[in-house]
Amino acid sequence: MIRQSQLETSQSYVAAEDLLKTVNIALTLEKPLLVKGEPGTGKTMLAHAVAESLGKELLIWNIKSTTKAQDGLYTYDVVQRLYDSQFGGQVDDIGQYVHFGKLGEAFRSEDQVVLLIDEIDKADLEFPNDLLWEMDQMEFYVQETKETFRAKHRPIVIITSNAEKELPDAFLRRCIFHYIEFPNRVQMRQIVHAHFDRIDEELLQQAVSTFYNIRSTPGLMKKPSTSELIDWLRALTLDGIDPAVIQQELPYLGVLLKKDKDFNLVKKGK
Amino acid sequence: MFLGFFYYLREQGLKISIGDWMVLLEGMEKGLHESTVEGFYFLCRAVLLRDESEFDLFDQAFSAYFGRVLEGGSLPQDLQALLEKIDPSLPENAKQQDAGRSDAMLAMDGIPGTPGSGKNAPGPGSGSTGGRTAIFAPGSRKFRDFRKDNTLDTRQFQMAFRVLRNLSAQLETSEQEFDIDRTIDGTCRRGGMLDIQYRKPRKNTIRVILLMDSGGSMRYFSRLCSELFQAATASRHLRELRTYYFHNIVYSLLYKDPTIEIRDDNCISVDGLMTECDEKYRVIFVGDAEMHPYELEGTEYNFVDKKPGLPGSETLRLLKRHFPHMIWLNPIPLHEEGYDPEGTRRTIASIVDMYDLTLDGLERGFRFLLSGKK
Repeated sequence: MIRQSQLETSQSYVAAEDLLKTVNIALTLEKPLLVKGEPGTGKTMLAHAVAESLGKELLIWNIKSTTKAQDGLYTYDVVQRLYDSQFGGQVDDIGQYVHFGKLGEAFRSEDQVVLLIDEIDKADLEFPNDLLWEMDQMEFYVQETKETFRAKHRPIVIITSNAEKELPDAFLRRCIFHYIEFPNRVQMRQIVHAHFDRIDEELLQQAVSTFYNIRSTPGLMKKPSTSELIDWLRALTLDGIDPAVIQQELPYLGVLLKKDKDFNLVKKGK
Repeated sequence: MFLGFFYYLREQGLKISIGDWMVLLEGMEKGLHESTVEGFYFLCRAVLLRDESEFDLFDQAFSAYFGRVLEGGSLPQDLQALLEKIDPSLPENAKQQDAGRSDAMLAMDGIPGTPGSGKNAPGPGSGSTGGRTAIFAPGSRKFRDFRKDNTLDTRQFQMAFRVLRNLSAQLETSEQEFDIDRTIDGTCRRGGMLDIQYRKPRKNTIRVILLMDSGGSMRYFSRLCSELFQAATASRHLRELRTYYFHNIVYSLLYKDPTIEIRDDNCISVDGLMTECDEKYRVIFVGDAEMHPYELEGTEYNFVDKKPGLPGSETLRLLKRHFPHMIWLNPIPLHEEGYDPEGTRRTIASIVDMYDLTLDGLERGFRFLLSGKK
């Protein structure tokens, strides 16, 4: 069980209460936790915070569109073996050419680890299904060496998704699900305070309210997220902008809005 | 066991399996519901749901089911007693679902700390005690916007699009990739001297032209069509995907966006399309094939050349001759015998092979597109 105070003392992470409950449910039931939410709501940060508060090592498996499930377990470097054989190296031990992926490492670890499978929706449609057996059985088989590796400790698995693709039902059924909502104003102020040691209250007040106004502009292609607000606040404080003009002049708007269309839309609305 | 709640949730359309329910029971055995309704709510949500689009439905079902007990704004701490109390009255409760829901919403509104109750909503970590916090407000329907209510999800469509795959070695590319098998083979033949082999990568060669009927009677199927469109655009394995729109039937022009406006930058002529694309392109029509017979057989007045053009049926035949791999997907199922008020469906089906816009129809249609065999 993680307590709120534990999760929040780690780094500068602010966790909503429902998120914390879900984390504890996943820990107790020993099931992977699937976290969805808008970009910038702290999905990846959650894994860091959980690992730190539990005092466990964090392994991060970043998923790309080319990632295969097999890569997470192990890869067999046949080319290296071939080259070694050319120069009379010892190539009898196939084991030295088997390189373990992040999932494989998590299974083989002596201590329980936290495994973050980041942005699982980036991968191929079949990817999640290919992981099912290993995740269920907590073991995998290396064909080349005919060895089976069984997890000594079931890793704590946290999976994030940006919902670019829908995930297969069979996979979802095995996960504990949580959707991180975009923080409300009260939570946002806490998040900002966690990132800044000292910040002018008036500036924060103005910036946050402008930020939510911009977010509510209809027709925005990409809404600015928490991390962009933090960057914006940094720019505003560094420049010593007068809080009174923020609402009117929207200084450094480019930090919040990255798309031309959005930029013009908000500028025009003012 | 409170199976009543399980069946109630299923009746409300939540796809919950027995396995999910066992996990929920396991969680309760381990005390994860913290013996409060709030804890129970979060446990259910985390274990039973798997998409934020289900949150709203679940919130409603939850507050309808527990609504009567929550009336008056007090949340009983003893959940077990609560569940037992509520179970026998299920049929009655379910019947009064609507009444129960509004009761529950009223009750929720009265709870201090719920959004909209006027009191400052406590943020995370504000140390709210007891069973009431700002986040526990299933009746307030804050997840309403996430609902999808879709019957066929895009994933299934995307899987169907996978059929459209024809891997072949790319001759026109200079790209090379390492061929392990042939390298090992070659090296062995040379007695251990390295013989590195490369090959051209194999890639999908299928190019697709998607032609969609827009407006009119197709409005009823707009969601289905937009899902098909999403699935098509998300299918990155296609070599090329072009999408054009038409209204009811194709004449001499196709439109690049669904507004069907005749603007220079919005139009492409059918002739132009046939010049640009060779016969290897796969053409998929999406439309209900319903129109006035005149629209199909009558001649079009060609606004560009200022003279009468070909009738729709002729344009279709022309296209079919140019693109032999062509299908028509129809959102109105074909087995609805006799449903062909104007006879246009039959005419079109006699020119282009017609399939249902369902998963099954899609797969059969795509297989035909790929192989030319039914």
